[in-house]
Amino acid sequence: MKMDDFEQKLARQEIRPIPEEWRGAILGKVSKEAEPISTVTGLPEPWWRNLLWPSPRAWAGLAASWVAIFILNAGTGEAPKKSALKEARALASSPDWSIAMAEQKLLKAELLGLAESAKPEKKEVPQPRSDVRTNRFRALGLV
Amino acid sequence: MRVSESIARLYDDHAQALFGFLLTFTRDEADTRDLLQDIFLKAAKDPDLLNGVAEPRRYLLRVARNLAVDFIRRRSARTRWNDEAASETIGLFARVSDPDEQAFCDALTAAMNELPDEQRAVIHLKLWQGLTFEEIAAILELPLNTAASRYRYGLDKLRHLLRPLYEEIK
Repeated sequence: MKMDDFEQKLARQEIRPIPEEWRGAILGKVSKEAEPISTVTGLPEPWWRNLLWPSPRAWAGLAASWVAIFILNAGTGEAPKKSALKEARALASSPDWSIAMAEQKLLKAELLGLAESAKPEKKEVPQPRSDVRTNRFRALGLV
Repeated sequence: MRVSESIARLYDDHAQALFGFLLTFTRDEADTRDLLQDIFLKAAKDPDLLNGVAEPRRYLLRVARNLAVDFIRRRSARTRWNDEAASETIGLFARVSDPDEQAFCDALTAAMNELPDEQRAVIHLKLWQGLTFEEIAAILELPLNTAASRYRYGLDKLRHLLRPLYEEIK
């Protein structure tokens, strides 16, 4: 579409130039905000600082409470309990312990007059299959 | 290339165009500067913003338009931004040595301030950014016919307001 004289007259008017000092100010501010600089070291802030940014004190408090919980947990004797349990298991599995327990059981049975029952039960050994069959025939009077 | 270098190049290529466009919207230098800063900050925080964009100028004008619309909405809610305030704002055009031409520039600034925001944006993009109606429609997110008709209405109003002075200095 062709412009008429009036439009051309308007289009010839130059938009005022952007103030030169804005360049430094805007770019300075932009680079400062886009790459935050540590006020302590003067170096770009580490990535984790941004992660914690909105409430660093809250995160620090949470971390401190976890450390306190860990210390309290370690100080309540949880660890010694575990080691005592281990020792007891090792002792129970030793042959001396088994013998001592058997002797104690026997002594207890003797004291209660149950010496017979205190004897260790004889383990029933499964009969050979051939014996089972013979016994069955015998019961039926066939042998 | 570092982010700061790429942003500096972006600034050198497009800041003037964005400045003129934003000034047309805000009619205030400090507000224009804030919005301009927001645009470059947005680009710096998201280095991939312009990746794959064929026409960065058009894209940035669109970002500028969205920021300006939001800003004007906020400003309207916050304060009574009226014609009196607008008339106190700075000129849109560069100063010229010829007094007649300067008078025309001042009258043009005043006439532009009379236009509704949407007509002013189309007029600016057409006359001073040299964009086509298709490009203007894409930037302002308008149908093509709407962009063209807003230009027509705006231009007619400018013609009406500036005719006496225009005839005088022609």
